[in-house]
Amino acid sequence: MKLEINGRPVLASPGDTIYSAAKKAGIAIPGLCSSDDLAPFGSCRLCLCEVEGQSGLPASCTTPVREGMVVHTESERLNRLRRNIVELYLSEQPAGDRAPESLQWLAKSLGLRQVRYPQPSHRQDVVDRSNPFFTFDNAACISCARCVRACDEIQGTHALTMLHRGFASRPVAGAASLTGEEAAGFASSNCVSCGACVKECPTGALMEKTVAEQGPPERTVRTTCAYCGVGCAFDAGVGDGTVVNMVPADDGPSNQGHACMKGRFGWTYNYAPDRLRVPLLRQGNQWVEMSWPDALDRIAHEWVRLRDTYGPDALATISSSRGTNEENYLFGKFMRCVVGSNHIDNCARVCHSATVTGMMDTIGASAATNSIQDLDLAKLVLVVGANPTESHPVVGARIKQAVRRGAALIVIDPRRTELARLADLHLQLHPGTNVALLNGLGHILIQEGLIDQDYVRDRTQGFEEWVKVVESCTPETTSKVTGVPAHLIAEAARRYATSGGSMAVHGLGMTEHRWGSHGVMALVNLALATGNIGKPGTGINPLRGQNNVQGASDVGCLPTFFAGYQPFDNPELAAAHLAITGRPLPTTRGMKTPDMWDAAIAGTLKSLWIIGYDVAQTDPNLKKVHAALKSLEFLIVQDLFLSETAKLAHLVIPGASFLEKDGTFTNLERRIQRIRKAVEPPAGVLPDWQVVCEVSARMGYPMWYGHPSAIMDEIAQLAPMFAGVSYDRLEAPEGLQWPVPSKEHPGTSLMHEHSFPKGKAQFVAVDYLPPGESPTETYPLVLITGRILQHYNCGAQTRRTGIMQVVDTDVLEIHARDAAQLDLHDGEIVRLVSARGEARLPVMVSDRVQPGELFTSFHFPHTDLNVLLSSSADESSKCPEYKVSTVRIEKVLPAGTPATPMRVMLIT
Amino acid sequence: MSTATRLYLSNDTSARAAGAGVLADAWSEHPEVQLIRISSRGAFFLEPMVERDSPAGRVAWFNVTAQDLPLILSGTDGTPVRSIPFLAQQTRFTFANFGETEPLALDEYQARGGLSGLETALRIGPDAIIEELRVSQLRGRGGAAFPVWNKWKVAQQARADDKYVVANADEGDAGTYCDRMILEGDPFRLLEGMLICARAIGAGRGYVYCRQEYPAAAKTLRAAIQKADEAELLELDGEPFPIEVVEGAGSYVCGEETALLESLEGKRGVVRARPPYPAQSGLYGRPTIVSNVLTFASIPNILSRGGAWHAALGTKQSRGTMALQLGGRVKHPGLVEVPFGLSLHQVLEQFGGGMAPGSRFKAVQVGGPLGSLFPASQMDIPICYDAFAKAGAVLGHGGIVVYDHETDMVDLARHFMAFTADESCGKCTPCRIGSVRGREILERIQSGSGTIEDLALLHDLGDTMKVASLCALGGRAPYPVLTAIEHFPAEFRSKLRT
Amino acid sequence: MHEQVKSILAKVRSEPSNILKALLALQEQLGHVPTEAVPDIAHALGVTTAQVAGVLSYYPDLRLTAPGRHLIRVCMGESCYANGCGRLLRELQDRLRVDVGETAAGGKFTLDTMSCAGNCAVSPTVMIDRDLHGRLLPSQLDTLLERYK
Ligand SMILES: Nc1nc2c(c(=O)[nH]1)N[C@H]1C(S)=C(S)[C@@H](COP(=O)(O)OP(=O)(O)OC[C@H]3O[C@@H](n4cnc5c(=O)[nH]c(N)nc54)[C@H](O)[C@@H]3O)O[C@H]1N2
Ligand SMILES: Nc1nc2c(c(=O)[nH]1)N[C@H]1C(S)=C(S)[C@@H](COP(=O)(O)OP(=O)(O)OC[C@H]3O[C@@H](n4cnc5c(=O)[nH]c(N)nc54)[C@H](O)[C@@H]3O)O[C@H]1N2
Ligand SMILES: Cc1cc2nc3c(=O)[nH]c(=O)nc-3n(C[C@H](O)[C@H](O)[C@H](O)COP(=O)(O)O)c2cc1C
Ligand code: SF4
Ligand code: SF4
Ligand code: SF4
Ligand code: SF4
Ligand code: SF4
Ligand code: FES
Ligand code: FES
Ligand SMILES: [Mo]
Repeated sequence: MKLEINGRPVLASPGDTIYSAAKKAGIAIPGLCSSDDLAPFGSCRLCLCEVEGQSGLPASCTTPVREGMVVHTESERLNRLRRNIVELYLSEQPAGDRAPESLQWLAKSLGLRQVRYPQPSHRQDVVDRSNPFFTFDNAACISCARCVRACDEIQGTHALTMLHRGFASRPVAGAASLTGEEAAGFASSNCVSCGACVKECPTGALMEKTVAEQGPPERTVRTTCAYCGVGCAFDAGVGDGTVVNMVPADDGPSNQGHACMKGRFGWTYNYAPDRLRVPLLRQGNQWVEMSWPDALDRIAHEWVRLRDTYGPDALATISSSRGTNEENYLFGKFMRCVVGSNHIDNCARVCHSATVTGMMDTIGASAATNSIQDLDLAKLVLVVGANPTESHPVVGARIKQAVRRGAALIVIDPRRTELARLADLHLQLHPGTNVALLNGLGHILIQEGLIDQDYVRDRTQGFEEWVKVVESCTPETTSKVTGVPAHLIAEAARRYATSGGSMAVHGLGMTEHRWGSHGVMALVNLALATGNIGKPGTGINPLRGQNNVQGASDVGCLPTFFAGYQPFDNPELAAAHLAITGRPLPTTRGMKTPDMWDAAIAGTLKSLWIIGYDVAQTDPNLKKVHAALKSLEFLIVQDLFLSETAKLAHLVIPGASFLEKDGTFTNLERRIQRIRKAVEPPAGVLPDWQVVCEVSARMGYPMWYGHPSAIMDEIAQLAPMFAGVSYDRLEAPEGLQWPVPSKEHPGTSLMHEHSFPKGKAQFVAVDYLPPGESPTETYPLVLITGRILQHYNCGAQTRRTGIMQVVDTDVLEIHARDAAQLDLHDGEIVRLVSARGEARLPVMVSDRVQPGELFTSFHFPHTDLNVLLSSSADESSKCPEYKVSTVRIEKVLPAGTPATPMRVMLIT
Repeated sequence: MSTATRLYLSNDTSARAAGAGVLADAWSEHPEVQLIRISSRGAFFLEPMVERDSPAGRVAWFNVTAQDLPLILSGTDGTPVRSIPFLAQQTRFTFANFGETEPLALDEYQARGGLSGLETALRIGPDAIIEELRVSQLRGRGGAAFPVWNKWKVAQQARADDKYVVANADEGDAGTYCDRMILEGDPFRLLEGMLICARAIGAGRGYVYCRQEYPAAAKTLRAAIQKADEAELLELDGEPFPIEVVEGAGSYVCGEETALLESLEGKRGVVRARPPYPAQSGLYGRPTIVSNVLTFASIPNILSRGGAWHAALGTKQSRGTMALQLGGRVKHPGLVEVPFGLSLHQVLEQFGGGMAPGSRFKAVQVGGPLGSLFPASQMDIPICYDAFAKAGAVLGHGGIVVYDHETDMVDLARHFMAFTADESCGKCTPCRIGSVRGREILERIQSGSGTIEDLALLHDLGDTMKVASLCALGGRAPYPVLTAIEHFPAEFRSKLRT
Repeated sequence: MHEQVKSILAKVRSEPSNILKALLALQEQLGHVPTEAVPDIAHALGVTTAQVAGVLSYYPDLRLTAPGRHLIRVCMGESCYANGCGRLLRELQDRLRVDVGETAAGGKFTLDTMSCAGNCAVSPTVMIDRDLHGRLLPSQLDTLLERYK
């Protein structure tokens, strides 16, 4: 579409407004209330323009472009109006320099010298500091409602509103202002501190506390969030050698300018006083500080000794899904080339290993088939066993946006999560019954002729076997097993099949089960039967957990595959490996993490090197894990903090955080993105990749890399799916989505468009089998464990930030009926008892759980939660059954004991 | 057989406020009286007015008190309704039933030609309905005077799973009451208009957004909807077409169509930027026709008599009749339905009967609180959209308020700005801050501390508000103020600090 | 309060939820919308407290505090202005010794203003509860107020 702005020809697309078209063409129109990320609003009226042939002065930010339009955005008349508007703004602001900079700048550029309104009424002087991370100063606000709209349109939390009307209208959080508690708005609201409002605010009325205290940043460094698998792009603001703020980047491909509490504000652990700064060696009950050279020597010494005495099987590494691709690759290389085994794993094991098995056996590739941006195209989103508004908040917000746009939403979850509340259909099944439910949906598809026959014929095999299995899964039987009403099962199946583009996302509610892989297969079967794979806005999309859990597996931190999921027995790979590394590729499969515990207890495993993974808190059946760790002769733990695992180590090595090193992460949509060093690590601290290089050299195999980019070049040489990846290409803000088979290949946002890796996809018929445990009289309740928004996994990082002011404990969520039966009240401490052990934590009545079921998180070590869990795991993947344990509740203190004060915020 | 005399007494809110309620109470015990509560003829200066049948048509008694009953029953001193000049000189189409029928008598409505427009609409189908409206040249009566057919066409062509018809019964302009009269006095006409619209655009649900200040109107309309439903009228193509009455909560700007839609959704009644227009994306984002009550009420006649009939009335740009509502210090306040084209002067003299006793003319305001003021010298302006537009004024919803010699123009100007400041939704800067600044300036002038610069500033502010405001509340607010200064400069200057 | 609010709201619950309608229904029953009830209202409607606060603070008719037994509203519209509503309002303020928006001692009357009651042809207008009184002269106020107990 062609138009003319200020005499210049400008190209625009149909969705553009004059404002956005001008902006793209480099023509700046003054404006305070519009934003690329928000719907047109038109409140400040600074962006008025003249359109030839049209009377009046339309606001350019709300006027759509038309072919051939002739627009003027600058004229004496417009200038005068803008000056008058800025004058009005300034008239309600505090005098002088206290007025927001953006207004002062506008005043200056428009030639406004003096405000002609004498002693007028001005804004109410209200400051709300109740959010831990930012403040709101009403005096500096211009009531443009960008914050409110950000909260509604971007984040979908609706924590903000404009209050009152007319001159008095101003933004507030929650409803506290109505009762005069003006300064407590944010704390009283459902604000999730995503920071979207702060970013949108054009005046600084909303401002990060760190910026207020330390001043605005001097420079920014583009990097990627190191918490969850969404992989939000950030600009780290740096001033005086320290990080001042983290602002999500508009051109971030997976986040498009959005973020969540953890990435936006939860980075201050970087400056926690108890960050590890020097290597620590255990001497009896004491830690003694060690110099770096001594520590590295010590590792090399112990591992050479143990390898030479007991053979390579005495050593193993668990690498960190929190670390970079390059680091993970190097740890794998170290094990294979220096130790000579495949005894390496990462915490994908406890997380989405069942997804890997389930998708490999059906589709032949184990990563998300589609991209996050496909949520904009999906007609229906099916969320199975995932809680994205807490675990992947930016994806969660995007799903809420899709719903706002009119997409249908179906949630399969035993809990009433935020998305479940918003959903068209919530199938509230009993934990551990995914296979039954998904087969039940399949039954309807066949009964009602909702199968995509062409797709099934052309692109799949094994359909008939699947039909045979689901035939018996009538709504009635399914309902009996799952607890989901039959009509909901039928309705969900119909909608999924007929939406015109159904996108499935799944999480640990799928995988962390006795039959997790089967659950994934049952889901894939539905997608295949309805033709919902290989098209935009569809697919099977595991919401991979940690920032680089996808990448750690991709680059070969697995006992079963080399980088790029290549089998060890591939002769071409073996030759290439030998040529490039100078060492043969060991061909025997290594130990998976649980095998390592067994080997340690059996005494065959002598040393473990654990990098950034707090197994002593987060693995299941903790008594066993602790026993295993204690049986080791030499435990090396490399971490940012003295984690529960580090406390058991013989040698602790400090790590450099993601803000302190270069590298890449691969997010949940297979997108490889750069992290960049923004600040220096604490004096002397080496990033994990340099540590392994140093140790390797000391063990006689020097690995010299000038920069992580060289490591990536080596990965590209050895793994065909990364063949086209290089750091110069990763400079582009959008990174690269694998597979990238060549330098010319643009990367793959949509997989399996024309064929599957194995040609045709395979239906794998699976029968429902019950979870490892069912309620008994002694253990009558089913405990589900999982995440809350505010804290992250072992909590080592989030517990060292202002997030503690929002949530400072795990709580046991219990349904009101059960609570009444057990006479339990909010805040009372209870003992949770399972066949394995017991944990203590406060209870909270919650309508997120059903009667007979409990939920809690595992973010606080003193809860000791994972002691309760068994070693039951998915048969093929060894993914632990974190989601189903049977327990009973015992009161710890007599009734009437006052509840412990606690900070808790349940997302509903 | 009853020997009681049938007396007709209006049940209209204003008639009751003028005393009809007291009469009804006083006479309820009289067996010789059979009181029929009808709609009001709109000659409010005569209310309470009591009528009875006579061989030569209805005969009326004016400004009746309870003690007048014997007189009326004896039939003395009544005036034939037909000979009341205020009524006789009008051209009543939309208000033809007023004073004649019982508001909720569907059979009477039908007997007087009601529902024949709907019948035609059902017969001829959407395209032909819209064509008839195009030919009629009917423009919206709510204020913006946009061609009705045009809006309907957009909504008709929009593709959506749902469409809505919304009657704007917010009637916020002070000085206007014709919507209220229709809601209370001839509700089936509104419903018929809405059904025709629904038929034309393919809507599945209707709403009437009624201002909270009109409890009787909402009640009558709800009763009418129920009657219509019982008569199986609320059905189109075999599908139900439910109509719901929703009451506002005292916000003037909720009469603005987009703010109205926000309010109808239960949210803050804040104005939305356009485009998209409601006809494209309105209630819950679906195509929605928002039209004024009077607009809907004008439509049945157009369908039954034909668009050409309507186009033959009025002036070149303003076809049909206009319901003018006289108020303020005029001698004969009331409703006047006449074809467009009479001059303001003619209307005030011929119908208004000049000034109220003891009052001398000072200014007249047309088009509600946002309408311009006219001094005596500008009284020959014709009642017509174009002539008003040319004069920088608006006809608005047809309210005409006359101010007398006692009016303090500075205080009146302050009153206008204060109104805007009170009613501003607060979304856009020129109105949110500007209306308060404007009020402050006028307060300064009123208190004697204003300067000549203040007047200049007021002009500059007014210009900014006029062109830069998002909606017509802020955009029109300066007009009454600036026309007051323009026509009565001395009153303002004399108050300035020198 | 909890239960009462819930039961009132249960009757007006709609899909999608309509905050204004719910608040008006509450006010109809309780005379005002108590701010303490905001969390309950939000919960019952499935919206946030901010959303309720935004609507509640927007509309002039929604009251956060209980009004007197009778609500007197003086029309401030232009026709009433021309016919002397200013004088009526001042008289009422003097007689009841209250300002606009306040409740007179004893809790009998709350004084408020309104914009046009659509009674312009019979103005000035005073609305008491749901009754309109037109062509009102200041001298008639005493007898009028006496009719309300
Ligand atoms: N805030 C935050 N974000 C995180 C993390 C964190 O600790 N905190 N951790 C990251 C990591 S490592 C991961 S792996 C991801 C995990 O992200 P999610 O997969 O979202 O994690 P969970 O909360 O463990 O479980 C998801 C849901 O599964 C449901 N569920 C339990 N049992 C069943 C079942 O039988 N069937 C079905 N259908 N659903 C069931 C639970 O009720 C829960 O709502 O999150 C990542 N993001
Ligand atoms: N009950 C229950 N338990 C669970 C789960 C559950 O759902 N329920 N979920 C499981 C799942 S899915 C997962 S993934 C695990 C996650 O559990 P963990 O992997 O144990 O937890 P994290 O907090 O992700 O990170 C572990 C450590 O990495 C460190 N770290 C971060 N960055 C770096 C770095 O750059 N270098 C180094 N050297 N260290 C770093 C942190 O300080 C932290 O101590 O928990 C599992 N445990
Ligand atoms: C501040 C403001 C108040 C308005 N109030 C009303 C009103 O009370 N009734 C009405 O019908 N239109 C009102 N309008 C006009 C409506 O926005 C809209 O144009 C009208 O309802 C459309 O109907 P029509 O086409 O039948 O005129 C108002 C406009 C503005 C700017
Ligand atoms: S931080 Fe996020 S959730 Fe909180 S008010 Fe701002 S936009 Fe809403
Ligand atoms: S806080 Fe900022 S974004 Fe929000 S209304 Fe005020 S100026 Fe606008
Ligand atoms: S959504 Fe995930 S990647 Fe994005 S900011 Fe939050 S934790 Fe970081
Ligand atoms: S001024 Fe108005 S009434 Fe007169 S001819 Fe023109 S359009 Fe018609
Ligand atoms: S002009 Fe006034 S009422 Fe209209 S949108 Fe702007 S602030 Fe709201
Ligand atoms: S930027 Fe267009 S009105 Fe504010
Ligand atoms: S101006 Fe007061 S009733 Fe209309
Ligand atoms: Mo995970």
